[in-house]
Amino acid sequence: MQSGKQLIKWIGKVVGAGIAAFILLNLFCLVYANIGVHTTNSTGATDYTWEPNGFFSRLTEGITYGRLDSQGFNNSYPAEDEVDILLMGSSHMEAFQMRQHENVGYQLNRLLHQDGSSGDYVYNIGTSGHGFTDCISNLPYAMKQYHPRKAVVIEMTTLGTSESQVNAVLEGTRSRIPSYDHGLIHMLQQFPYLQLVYRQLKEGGQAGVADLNITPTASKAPDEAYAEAVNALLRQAADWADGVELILFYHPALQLDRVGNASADVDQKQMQVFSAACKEYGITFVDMTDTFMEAYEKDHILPYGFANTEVGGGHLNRHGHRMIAQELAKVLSSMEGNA
Amino acid sequence: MSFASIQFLIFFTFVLGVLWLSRAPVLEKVAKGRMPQIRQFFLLVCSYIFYGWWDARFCLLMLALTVSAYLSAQKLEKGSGASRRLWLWLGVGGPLVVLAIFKYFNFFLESVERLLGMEDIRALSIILPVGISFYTFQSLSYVLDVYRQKYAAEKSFSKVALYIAFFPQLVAGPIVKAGDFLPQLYEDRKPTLRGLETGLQIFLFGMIKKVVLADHLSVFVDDVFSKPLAFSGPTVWWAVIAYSIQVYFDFSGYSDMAVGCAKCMGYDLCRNFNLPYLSKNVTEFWKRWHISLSSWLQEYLYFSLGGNRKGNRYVNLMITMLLGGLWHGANWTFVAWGGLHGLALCIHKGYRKVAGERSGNALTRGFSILGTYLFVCICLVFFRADDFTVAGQALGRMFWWESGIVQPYAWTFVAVIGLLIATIYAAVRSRGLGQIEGRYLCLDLTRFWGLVAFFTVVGLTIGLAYTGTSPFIYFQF
Repeated sequence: MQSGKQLIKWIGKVVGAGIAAFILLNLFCLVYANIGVHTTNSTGATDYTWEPNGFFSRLTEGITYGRLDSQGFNNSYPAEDEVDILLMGSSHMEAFQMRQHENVGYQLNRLLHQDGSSGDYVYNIGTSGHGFTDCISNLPYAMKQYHPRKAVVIEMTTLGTSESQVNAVLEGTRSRIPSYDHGLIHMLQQFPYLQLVYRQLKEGGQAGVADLNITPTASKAPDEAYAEAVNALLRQAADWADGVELILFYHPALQLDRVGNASADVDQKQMQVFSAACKEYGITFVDMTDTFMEAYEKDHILPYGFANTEVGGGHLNRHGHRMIAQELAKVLSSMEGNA
Repeated sequence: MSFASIQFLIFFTFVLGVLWLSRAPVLEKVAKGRMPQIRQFFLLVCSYIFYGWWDARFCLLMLALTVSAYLSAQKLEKGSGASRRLWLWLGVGGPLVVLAIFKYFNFFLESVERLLGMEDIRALSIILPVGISFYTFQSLSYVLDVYRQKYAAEKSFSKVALYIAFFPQLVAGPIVKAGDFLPQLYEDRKPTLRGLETGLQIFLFGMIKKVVLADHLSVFVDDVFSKPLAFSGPTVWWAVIAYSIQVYFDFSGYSDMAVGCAKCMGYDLCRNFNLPYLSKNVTEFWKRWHISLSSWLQEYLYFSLGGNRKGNRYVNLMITMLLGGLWHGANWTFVAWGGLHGLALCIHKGYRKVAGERSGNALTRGFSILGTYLFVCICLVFFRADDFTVAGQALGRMFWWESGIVQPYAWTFVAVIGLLIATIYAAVRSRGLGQIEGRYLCLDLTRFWGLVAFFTVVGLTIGLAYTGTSPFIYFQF
């Protein structure tokens, strides 16, 4: 009888301690990895948005924290009424890995607001999981929502695409990234510790980089099919841009060999086809390969990787963001000059 | 099946569950006093399943070594003169030949062919059975102990088989001596609440060391050692420091998990590490680092060669350390690592002979600890590098401070802080003992806050674990 009572008392302690530990773990995750909850973006400019004004923290890749804007995007530069330049892209542009004033969106704003610059306002809607074709697919909705006056800048991590992907974009049948707006899963997402454990289990060996290239590449697709797909996609993108300057920038991954020499994994044939297609449809194409290579060769600076991750792997770091912002600022300034 | 895997969690829960059920008075009554033997047989079967999970063929090899050790020991005990020597040669030579074939055959073949300048280097396609070095050494220790009449030959084959195959220490140690384990099989060892409470916490402690700290450090270390020329001098130093902590946490973490597992089932395994980076000299380092291997080498190799008494003690020491290095892997870099340590041990012993024992003041002790640690770190470059070219490149960067990628890897800071906290805790707990001894922090899980802390640490381990692939370093040995 006595031992039965003791056992029940101990089970009560275990349950209570489990709840207390769960609370402590969630408090810890507010600092370590507060990923946030996303809901479907009804405007269609992106597949989803994070909670408006949500707080985020990441110590899993980079060491950072910040607050999202009123629309659930990562913008901390003082907002303006009108958007001059719309920035679209993947988790690289979402930039949850670095301090907010170091990301492309913020730095580009700063460069464009320097004395003698155009003073254009850049609004960043970069969101994890949105590869190049996803961004193109969302372009007409983004144009309708933000009415960028001068340009739309879209980030690309790969030149690869396939006929089926392009068809899905052109026919509007692309499957969007789902959100759990209601129900149990939505409720469970509110606990940062559960989100962390889910990510740990799901991502396995690819923690933090799993969403970089969710759009499968088709580097082995026959040249002709690739050219057709790219041309069809860019023709449509230029059409959807509706007279606003469309700028695509490509940043490749860099590899280091055993003696420390860097090389970029770029398919030159695809590069030729892609840049020719951009020219054909009046799209500005910015290739970051040479800038990245020069930074490494001159100063041993790599555009990817953080102090707590693999060297040169994962997301763009502050150097990568700075180089891209500078390059885009140059391109935008030269456009201004030409105009 | 690695300790840090879901499969092992299921396997161990099953084993523990069955052992716990076997405590039921009804079953004890049905077994008519034979329950300890039934439990041991069950553990033996489970150990073979655990080992066969990698490759079922490995079990046959282990069984053959067990039969060899069992028969040799029986004959050694009964025999005399020439027959005893013959059985000693068979009992020791057999396992060594097996080890040489599986682990070193290709290495020596390639070395000879390279030496002769042969271009078309051939190699046999041999799989290296995981943990072969560990259980071979255990079987050797049993045979040698019986030969030296330190331990009587075990009559029960299943007891010898369980001693060699006991799954917590099977694939990466600690290398348990027969005299430490076999007597436990004559006691009614079974899981207890107290044992579970302690064992689970020791296991968890080892798990943190491995999956949270060592595995995260491996990301940086692997990066730097795959291309040292790409990194700046200070970064290579930082990587070497990271590796010194990685290899310590990896292996001592595994040992802790083994000790914890065994404790949960009612068995005791020896400690394998005792804050090695607090050593004031290399001799002390080897008393604190991989204790089960160093004591094995001392007892069965160094003393067999003559130790301090016969022949030249320095030559004996060098041979012991060179072979000890080679034990770690079939690569000349391991031999170099062992050789450097052997050289340092000879110098230290020579110095101690001339200067005598000196304790020194706190400052001298501090410098001694730092100096020993730096020496160990430099030697670890050979331990980690794939070949001498990589080792040379890394050492070149470390001592010529050339420019390159700068990576102040954050997990190294975390690991250093973790190590410092553990050391301070051990220092506080060791007050009055004369020297700092490593301690396990065990919470009282009958108390509410003990349970809160335990669950929180379990949760943190899951949340912070490195999710990539990073096998235990010592599995390859």
